Order: sequence, then structure tokens, then C-alpha cells
Amino acid sequence: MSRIRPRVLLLLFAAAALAAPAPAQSDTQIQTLAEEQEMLRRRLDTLRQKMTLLAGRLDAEGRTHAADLLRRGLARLDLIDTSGHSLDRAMAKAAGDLRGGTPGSVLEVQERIASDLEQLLSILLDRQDLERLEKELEAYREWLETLEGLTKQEQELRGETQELSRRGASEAEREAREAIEGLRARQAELARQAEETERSLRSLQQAADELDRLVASQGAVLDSIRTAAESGEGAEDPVASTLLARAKVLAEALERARALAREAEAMRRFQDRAEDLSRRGQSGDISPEDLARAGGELAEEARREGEPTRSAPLERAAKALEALAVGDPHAQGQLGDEARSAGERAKEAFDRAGAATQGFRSEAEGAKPSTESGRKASEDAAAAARRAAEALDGRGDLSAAAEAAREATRALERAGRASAGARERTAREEVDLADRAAQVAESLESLSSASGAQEAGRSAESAAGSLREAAQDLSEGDPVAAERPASEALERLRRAREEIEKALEDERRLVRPKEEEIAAEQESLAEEAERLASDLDRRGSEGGLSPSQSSGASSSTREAGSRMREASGATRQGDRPQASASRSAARQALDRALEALGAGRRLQDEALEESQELARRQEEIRKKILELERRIQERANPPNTGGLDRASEAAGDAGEALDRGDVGEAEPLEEDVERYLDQAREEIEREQERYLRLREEELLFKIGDELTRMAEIHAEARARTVEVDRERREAQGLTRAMRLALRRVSRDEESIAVDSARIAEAIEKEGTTVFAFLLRSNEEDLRRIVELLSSRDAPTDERVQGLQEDVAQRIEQLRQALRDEIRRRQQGQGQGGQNFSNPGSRRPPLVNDLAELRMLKMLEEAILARTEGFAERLDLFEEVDPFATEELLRLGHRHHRITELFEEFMRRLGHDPDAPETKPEGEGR
Amino acid sequence: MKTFALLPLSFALGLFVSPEVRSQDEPPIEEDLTRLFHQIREDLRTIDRLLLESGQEGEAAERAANAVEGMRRLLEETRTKQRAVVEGIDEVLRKAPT
Repeated sequence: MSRIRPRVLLLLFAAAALAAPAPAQSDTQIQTLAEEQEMLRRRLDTLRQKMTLLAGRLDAEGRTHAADLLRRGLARLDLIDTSGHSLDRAMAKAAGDLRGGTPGSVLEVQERIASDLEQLLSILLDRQDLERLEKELEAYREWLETLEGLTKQEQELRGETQELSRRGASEAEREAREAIEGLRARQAELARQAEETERSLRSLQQAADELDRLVASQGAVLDSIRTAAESGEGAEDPVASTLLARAKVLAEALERARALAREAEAMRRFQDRAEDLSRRGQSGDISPEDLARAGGELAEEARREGEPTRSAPLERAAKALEALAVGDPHAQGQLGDEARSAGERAKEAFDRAGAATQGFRSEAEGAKPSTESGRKASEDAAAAARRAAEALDGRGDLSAAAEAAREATRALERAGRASAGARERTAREEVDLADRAAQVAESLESLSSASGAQEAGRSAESAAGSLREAAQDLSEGDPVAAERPASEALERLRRAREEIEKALEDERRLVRPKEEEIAAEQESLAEEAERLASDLDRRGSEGGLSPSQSSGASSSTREAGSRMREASGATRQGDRPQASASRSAARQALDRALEALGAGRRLQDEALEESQELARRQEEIRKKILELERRIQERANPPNTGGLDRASEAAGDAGEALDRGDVGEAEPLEEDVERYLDQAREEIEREQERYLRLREEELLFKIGDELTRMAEIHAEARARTVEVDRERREAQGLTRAMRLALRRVSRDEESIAVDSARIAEAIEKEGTTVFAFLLRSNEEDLRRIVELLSSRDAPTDERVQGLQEDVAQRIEQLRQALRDEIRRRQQGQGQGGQNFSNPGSRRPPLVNDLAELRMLKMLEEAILARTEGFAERLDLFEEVDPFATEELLRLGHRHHRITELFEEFMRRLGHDPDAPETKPEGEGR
Repeated sequence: MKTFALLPLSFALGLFVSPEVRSQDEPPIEEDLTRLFHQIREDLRTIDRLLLESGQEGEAAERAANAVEGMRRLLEETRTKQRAVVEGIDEVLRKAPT
């Protein structure tokens, strides 16, 4: 159910409260009221705009119901009533009347506004008329009853169709079915025996195939290990490793020289600019202020330049520039010193890098690595070293030299990685082969009956051990050490394969006689199938079977025979996969033969008439389904009737099949009808549940409205009682006017008593017993009040006022509980509540169990307070008056009802009050 | 009146009550609630009886002053039981699945 969120409604609540009729006010107050009325009008306008926007958005989100509610609300806002005013205009008129000094009519206008706002609120809360909801629910109940009846009729029809089908089969068909089923059972048994016979052989063959693959793989791996061991590839190359370390040092040295060269260059640049600045300052080209600013900027620039390398000389230069900016005479000298030092450091680093480059070049050119990849990398490194040396000698290009050194590093690193990668790959391969060999060993171990298999398993297991050893050596970078276990592994795998071949030969010798038996039996079954096929033809020609039964069943049976012969031949030839496939095809052909017997059944004479009678009944059901669908579709918001649609269609097809006497086809269609009727029932029940929730919520709202009205009438009656009580004490007697006033109180209280009883009766039907009890208690107290006020004395003292207070308290408790329940439902906590109850066991009550228990507690507390009151009076007066005694007895009776309510509550939760300390009924623990 | 199916309390408790809220020495909550329900019910019946007796004693007390003492005693006993019922329901509300 889609509603408008409470936040949207807050404004309306506020508006409704402010729109309440106002008593006579002073001019200032009237002006204030007029302003508030204007403000309300503006807020109403804002609300209208928001509602319009929100409706569009909800439409876009597909929340059409909520959008419709908003549009209905908007229409209500614009509705012109009998006085010719829309809500907006009425508000404007009220404000105008207040300002114009004619507040008399305002009361009437505001009452209308309040009523309009209430109606708007009802629309937005999606409150629906209770009577309409009851009518809807009645319709749903009726539909479900009809559906239940239809489902039952369809079930009966299907039962009778099955019975007719059974009876309708001819003697010839029954015999044919029995023969085909017998053949099928024997074929299935033969297939089972064949599978059983072949199992060990198949497992051995699978192990042999896997060993073939393992031998091939290990052979390839061993070759690569041998190559690596001979060439040294795969092992770590110490010459290449040393060269790599040197190349890294060279690259660093060149990089440092380049950084120092950059630094020296920057220092020279700053020195030049500082000299220029100083000169212009001295010549008066720039003012001392500009000099200071420019010096500061230069210092900042120097710092920025030195920041990436955290250059200390550049930082010192920046400080010198700052000093220069403030006219320090030594600053220029300091800057010059720093620039010189930087130049010297750069030169020194350049020289060292040059020497290192030459040294590395000689080393790379003279290196003799042990591996091919090492040799190739050394050559590349020597070439790079030559390029670096040329860059330095010719142009002093440190960047190019550093890049060349990095190239040398990369070439040597690649060689190292390739070597390690190859080793790791081979090691992983060996581990994988070891796992597969171990699996083969395990599978052979389980074939304890097969001779030779055990030895093969042991060989495979020791091969797995050798493979792991080889993998370990390879991981450690030692292909030479890996060669021995890898070779052993290959040898052991080959041995396992030879042993398994022997085991296979033994097993073949063992199964051969069994297979021969199976082949013979299969051939015999094939002959039987062929004979049966001829028999089916004969039965067809004699009329025992219908032509379609006869031709369908005989051709399928004949095909089964042919497949059986194939299976027999393949078994004898040792072609087990073909034999298995042919056996399977034979079984399927026999299944088809049975289907043909059922589908082609033709009822004769009396049985056909019976079937046509069933067709007529099926047609009646179909019409009823369509009639139900039509009735449902006539409603304003019908539930989904897709299930009924499908059910009527299936019923039509089933009817046609029955009319032809084709009961075999009709049966599954009748099943479909039942299934679709079930779907329709579920769809209708889902929608019914929604209406039940709506109805419960509306009931809660209605009760809330009634309680509010009761509270207002009762509050007025109480106030009048207190007033009369005060007046009679002052007048020392009861005047006629006072009696008249009390009579009015009595009438009002009686009307609340009647309403309380009515509501109590209604909610008792909803299972909300404690709630109803409070209303019954109010009815009782209100009637007692009426009785007292109607007596000759017409007491108005604490006896009546106390009872009135109790009534007021209970009304408030009930209102609070209702508010809580409505809030709980709006917060999406479901209806009724399931705190104590199994959600599937019963429909939850209107007010949830815990709320009822809390109310029981409040009732007990109220009686406790009354008991304490009696005890206090007893202590005070040391005597008992008849009124107190009577009240105490009434209290006892009321308490007994609380006990009964609690017992009822216990039963509702599955506890038997008369069976102490037992677990709840229905518990499976 | 609606027909209420029986409550499989263990289901509700298993679903809603966290085992952490109970110590190992405590009885399972379902047993505890059963005990509480029966205790409350027993107290309620006692209160029924006591209130009835108090009313009857009140009638006697209207005639004889010495009956006041008996009524006072009955009312005291009633209040004690009533407090026990209120506490019992509080305990159920605390322990009940929410």
C-alpha cells in the first residue's frame, strides 16, 4: 500500500490545529489571528506546490497510487463548496472577516476549513470508507469460496478421468503394457549388470590414460631440466648478478652528478640575477622598497627550486638573497661562495661518474657469464656503457649517460628474472604432476580386487615423491640437482603404466566371460523385443489396439530390439562406450512404446460416453471459471486474474480431449487446471490480505476518532459535575437549575456508555480482548455514574468524580495504545504484531500481544491504587461505610475479569492455565 | 471472536532472543516465561479471593468495629499480591521477545 509520508502531513496537522474555532478575542488578538490565518493560507499554497511537484516525481518513480492520492488531495483543495468558496478562498475570507471586524462569521468559516483539512488528511492517508472495505472483503470471501468449490470439482473430475482411463484400457492394451514394462525392467537390470562389470575395468583404463599423459608431460619437463642443467640456464648466474649490482651503482652516480650539475647551474643563475638587482639598486634604477620586494621574490624562487631535492646550498642561497634584499653588504659575497662551491661539487661528481662509466664499460665488455641469457644481458650492458661514455666524453650529457646506465640495469635485471621465472614455472609444473600422480595412486588403491593395480599405485605414489623433490630443487635454483629426482619420477611413472597394463589384461580376462553372458542375454532380449513388436502389430490388426497405439508401440519396440542387438555386438567386440549408448537408446525406445500405448488409447462405446460426460462437466467448470473472472474484473480494483485465464484455457483443452475420449491427454491438462486455480487463489488471497490490513487500519482510525469524541464529551461532563458540586456546596443544596445541569451530564455520560459498549463489541470480534475490557469497564462506571446522578441525592462528590476520573484515564490509555499501534504500523512493523506469536499460526490481533499485556498491567496497577485508597481510608477513619464495601465488591468482580483476561491471554500463547509449569502447547521441543 | 492458533513459543524465542542475554545458569527463557505466567495467574486468583473476602469482611466491619482489623489485614495481603503481579508482568515484558 502506498501512502503519503507523515512528514508531508505535518503541515496539515498544524493547519488543522490552528484552524480550530477561536473564542472572542481583543482587537490585538484578532489582528494576530488574522495574520496567522494569512500565514496558513500561504502555507497552504506552498503545500499545493509541493504536492504538485511530488505527484510528478512519484509518477516518474512508478508509485502511481501515491501520486493518485496527491492528485485527489489537490482536487479537494480546489473544490468549491456550497458557499462558493474553495479552501484557499475560505481562508482568505476568514482573514478578511477578522481584519474587517466581523469575526462573527469567522467561527463558521473556520469550522468549514477544519472540516476541509480533515477530508484532505483522510485522502492523503488513503483512508477508505469502512463499509466499502467490508463490501470488498465480502466479495473476496465469496470469490475464494467459489474458487475452492471449483478446485474441488476439478479434483473430482481428474479422479474420475484417472479411473476411466484405467477401466478404459482394453485387455489387449493391458497385456501389451505389461509385456513392454517387463522388457524394460529386464533391460534396466542388464544395463546395471554391465555397468557393474565394467566399473573396475573403466577405472583401470582411466588410470592408465592418466599415466600415459603423466609420462608424456614428465618426459618433456625432464628434457627442459636437462637443458637448463647443461646450459646453466635456470640457475643463478653470479657474473651477471655482480654486473647488475655495478650497473645500479653507476646509474646512481650518474644521477647524482646530474642533480649536482643542475644545482650548480641554478646557483649561477641566482648569482647573476642578484648581481643585476644589486647593481640597479645601487644605481637608483629601483627604489629600496622595490629592491627589497624583488630580493624577497628571488629568495622565494630559490627555495622553490631547491625544494624537490631538499637542496641545502639553494636554501643557503635563498637566505643570502633575503639578506641582500634588506641591504646586507655581505650577502653578495656569500652568494658567490655558494655558487662556487656548487660548481666544484658538480665537477667532482661528473669526474667520478665518468670514471665509473669507463670502469663499468671495461667490466661489461670483459664479463664471461655462465648462462646464455647472462651473456646476452652482459653484451647489452656493455653497449649501454659505451653509449654512456660517449655521451659524457662528447657532450658532457649526464642525462643521456644516466639513461644509458638505466638501460644496462634493465637488461641485466630481465636476464635474472627470465632465469628465475623459468625455474619457477618448471617447479610448478612438477608439483602439478606430483598431485596428479598421487591422485592416480589413490584411485588405484581403492581397486583392491584388481591384481597388479596395487603395485601400479605404489609406483605412482613414489613417482609423486620424486616429482616433489625435483620441484624443490628447481625452486632453489638448482636444475642440476633436480635432474636426478625428475628422471626417477619418469622411470617410476613408466613402471606404474606397465604394471597397470598387466592389471588391465588380468581384469579383461576376468570380465570377458561375464560380458559374454551379458551379450547373450542382450541378444535374447532383442529377439524378445522383435517378437513383441510383431505381437503389437497383430493386436493392432485384430482391433485390440487402436492403429496409433499399435503402430507407435510396435515401431518403438522394434527400434528397441535393434538397439539391443547393437549393444550385444558392441559388448562382444569390447566396445564398451558403444554398448552403453545402445543400451540407453533401447530403454528410451521402450519408454516411447509405453507412451504410444497411453496416448493413442481410444475409448470404446460406454467408456467413450463416460468420457464425453466428463467433457460436459469440464465445460461447466470452464464456464464457471470464466464467470468468476468476469465478476472479479467488474470490480474497480480487481486482483490479478492471470491464473483464472490460464485455468479456463487448460479446462477448454481438457474438455476437448475428453470429448474425443482421449483420457491420456486430458489427465495432465486437468492437473494444469488445478494448478492454475491454485495460482488464482494465491493471487486473490494476497489482495484480500491487503484489504484486511486496510480495514484494520481504518478500524483503528475510526476507534481513535470515537475515543477523541468521547474524551471531549466526558471532559465537558466532568467540568459541569465539578461546577455543580461547587455551586451546591455554596448554596447548601441542589437547585432546580443544578438538577437540570446534572441531567444533561447524565445524558452525555450515558451516550458515552452506549458508544463504549458498541465499540467494545466490535473489537472483541477482532480478538482485542483487553482493549475491549477497558471499554466495558468504562461502560460499567459510566452507567454507575448515571445511576448515582439520577438518584434522589444526585451525589456530585468524590464518589462520582472519582469514577469520572477513572473513565477519563481509561479513555486516555486507550487513545495512547491506539496511537502507538498506528505508529507501529506506519513504521512498517506489520499489522497486529507478532511478538509472541508464530507469524504463520494465526492472523495477528488488531492490537499486538505486548500492548495488550501492558494494558493488563495498567489495569492491575489501577486496582492496586484503589486498594491502597481503601486501606488509607481504613487507617484514617477506622470504619467502613456501605459505599466503600460496595465498591470493594465491585472491584473484586472487576479483578476477576482481569484474571480471566490473563488466562485467555495465556491460552492464546499456547499455555494451559490449568496445567501449571507445562511448556506451551504445540511445542515440538 | 477470532480463533487463535497455539503458539510455538520456542520458535518465537529461537527467532528473537539472543543467547547472549542469558547466562548459562539461568533456565531457558521459554521455561522462565512459563513459570512467570503461572505465577502471575496464581497471584491473580489469590487477589480475586482476597478482594471478595475483603468485601465480605467490609460488610461485617460495617456492623462490628473489631472486623476492621481483619479487613485491614486482607487489604495488606491483597496489595502485596497485586505488587507481585505488576512486577511479574514487568518481568515478562522484559524477557519477552520484542
